Amino acid sequence: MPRLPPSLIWRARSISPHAATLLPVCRDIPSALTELRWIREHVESTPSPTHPASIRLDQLCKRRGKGIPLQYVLGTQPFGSLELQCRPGVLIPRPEPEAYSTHLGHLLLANPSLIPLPPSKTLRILDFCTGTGCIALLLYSHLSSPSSPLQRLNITGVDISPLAISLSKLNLTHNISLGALAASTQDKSISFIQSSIFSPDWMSEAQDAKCDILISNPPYISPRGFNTDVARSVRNYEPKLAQVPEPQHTHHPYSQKEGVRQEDIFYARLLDIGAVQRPTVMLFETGGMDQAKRVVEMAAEKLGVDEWKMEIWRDWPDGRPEEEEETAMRIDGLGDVKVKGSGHGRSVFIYRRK
Amino acid sequence: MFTAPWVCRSCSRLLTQPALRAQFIRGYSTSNGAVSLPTILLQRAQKQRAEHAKLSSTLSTGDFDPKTAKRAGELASVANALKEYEEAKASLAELQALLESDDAEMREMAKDDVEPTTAQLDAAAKKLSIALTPKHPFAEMPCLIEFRPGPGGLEGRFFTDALFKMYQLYCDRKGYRAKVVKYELSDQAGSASGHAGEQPLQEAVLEIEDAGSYDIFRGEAGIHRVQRIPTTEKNGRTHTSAAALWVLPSLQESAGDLASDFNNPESDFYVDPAEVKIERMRAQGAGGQHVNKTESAIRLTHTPTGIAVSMQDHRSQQRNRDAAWTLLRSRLAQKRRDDREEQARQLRSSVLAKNQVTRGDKIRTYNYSQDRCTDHRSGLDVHNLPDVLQGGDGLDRIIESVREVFIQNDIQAAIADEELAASQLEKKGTK
Ligand SMILES: C[S@@+](CC[C@H](N)C(=O)[O-])C[C@H]1O[C@@H](n2cnc3c(N)ncnc32)[C@H](O)[C@@H]1O
Repeated sequence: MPRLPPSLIWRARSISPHAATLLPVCRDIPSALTELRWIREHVESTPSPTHPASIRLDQLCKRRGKGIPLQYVLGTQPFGSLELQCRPGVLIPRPEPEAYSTHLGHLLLANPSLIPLPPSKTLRILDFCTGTGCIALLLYSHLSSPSSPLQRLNITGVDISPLAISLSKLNLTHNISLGALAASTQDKSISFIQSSIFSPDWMSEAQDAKCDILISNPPYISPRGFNTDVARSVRNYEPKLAQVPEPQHTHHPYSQKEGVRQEDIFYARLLDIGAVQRPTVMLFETGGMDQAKRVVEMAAEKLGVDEWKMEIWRDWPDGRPEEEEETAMRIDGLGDVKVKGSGHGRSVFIYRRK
Repeated sequence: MFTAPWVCRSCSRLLTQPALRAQFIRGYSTSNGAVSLPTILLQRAQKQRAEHAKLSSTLSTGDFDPKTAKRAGELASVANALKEYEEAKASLAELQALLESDDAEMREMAKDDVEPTTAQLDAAAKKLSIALTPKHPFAEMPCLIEFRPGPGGLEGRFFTDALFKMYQLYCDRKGYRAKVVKYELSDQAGSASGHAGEQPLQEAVLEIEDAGSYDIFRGEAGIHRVQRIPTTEKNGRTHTSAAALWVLPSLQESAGDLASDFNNPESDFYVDPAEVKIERMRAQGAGGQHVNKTESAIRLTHTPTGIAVSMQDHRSQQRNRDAAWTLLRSRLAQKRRDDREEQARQLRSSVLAKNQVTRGDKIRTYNYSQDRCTDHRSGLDVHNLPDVLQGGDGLDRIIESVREVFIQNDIQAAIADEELAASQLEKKGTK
């Protein structure tokens, strides 16, 4: 990273020593002042009987200035209408999953025909690689709201990391206590379990194990990409397990599978599970347009295109495409696939034709 | 079509009525001569009193309808003011008759009473004209004040920050609930800093949540000019820069009437989502898991008007988005209202139009070396600039003086509109 010009540091210091502390991570004064305001607001809204506010402010600014992600320093990240607790060891929720989970929630509420369900049946959603639980919890907040026509709902978040599972459970109770989420009832419930996506349990043919919606933001970065494309503070402070599919962690046969790149391993597994569980809707986050295209191809090959339709959603599925952003993409042997919104190719949306 | 003659008639009549001129244009009462309101206003008052009487009798027969009740309530103030006015007028006429009396003692007594009765009439006339003036449609709403530096670089940005703080302090002192919706600094400052901790402000929005604050602050909209020696000036020269303020109506969720139902296409606050372009900050590099940005900027552009708002103050994407939509709705509502007002203005007399300050005009000057703040509409000078900038008493006096001017302008506009309507009726009749 280029060094900061001394005049900038000097000016930051003349405004506030805290701003100068934050400058190396924030890189410019407006951002440093913005983060300083957030840190200050946090200190004010969480008074401590033992630690004076000025000392806490000092400490938090110092930690942030060292490069520790703001969300670990403050302990939270807003996500839709929720406030998620963040802890080292669990990936911080990003704005993109917030955008596509919200978009999916609205889509499901606006088009109930997307998931034809008899009212007596429970809509089941599986969120693999749930991390903080962010996607599962946000879908739960949309679909369990009083305006939702859904009668019965069951959401399960799955993660291999015990830290992630305890944090996602904490996030459920935290948001219930904030009033941002309704507590589980007999008809509408959400839970989190520790399990690997490669566990044979997920390939069960049993009817009651089947889900209607399969969603996941899995690790999808290649070992090479991890060194070249991942921001330093992410690499230094967030768990690699959440980003790079590593065979030694997963002990699965997919690493030897013909023609599947390491960064795509989780998609191969998700599609195998999809082929058995036959959900109506699947949504997988991807690391960019190239990966999104590969996932579309894998899905077409695994599931076939007579019964299934695929779309690619960009970062902001509700955004208007920029001029250079195509709204359809030709994929070999498949024809044109619709591309929605603006930004990078962020997720692949797969749904069953009637 | 309306033609010039009646326009001149109306304004010349306005100006030949000394009491009216005194009240409406200067704002103090005069004690000599009979006061009378323009016939056109009296006719309007009489019409409204008749309507009030009719509505009251409908209501009293048991047909209670909230809408009728509301209208009757509005008209009641006109009916009462008209009654007071007529009474004062009658007593004055009576006194005038007594002044002609043969009885010397009677004449003396009457003479003593003339002054207070005339003052009463003045007050009643003013009350009646205010009651007759249509309330600004946003008057009862909370407001948003938007601050933007004028062209001319850093000094304007610093001054814009001074104004922002001035209104914050003012609200503090008056007990208004002011919330910072947006506070965006510019990164252009290099190593410079402004007077007394001023920051180079790029754009800010202050929301004043109290109902009715729109009416209090609407006169603050316009170009505020500063004359001072910038901290960056080496040769001690005075510079002139400016800041633009917009005052926008802000929706109160709880109000629940038509205007605040922004999903209703009839509402000024309605925005068709299909006409809004949403842009988010582009992630540098690959985005997603690769980076962890703490800011989540959003920009909305209303394509038909080109109005654009951006927001990045909150950590929460959703809050930024909601705040941006709120601001966009308020801007559009204000623009729609301005457009209508402009149309109405063009129909009115050209003399009146000149009285109106339009958006581009400078409304106030803050002169540091002369320690003076001057409002160019009320003509008021306040000689304690630090007090004004601290949101003190001086600012109060300025704001009040402008409100007075606005009330007078509104009354004149109402008279002009009434005359326009009357003349159009007349035209129809003669055809
Ligand atoms: C990219 S993070 C996504 C977290 C969260 N869904 C989000 O969007 O912020 C991937 C998650 O997958 C989990 N994970 C890694 N390997 C896994 C496996 N074999 N089975 C289940 N979860 C796994 C990691 O612990 C991590 O929480």
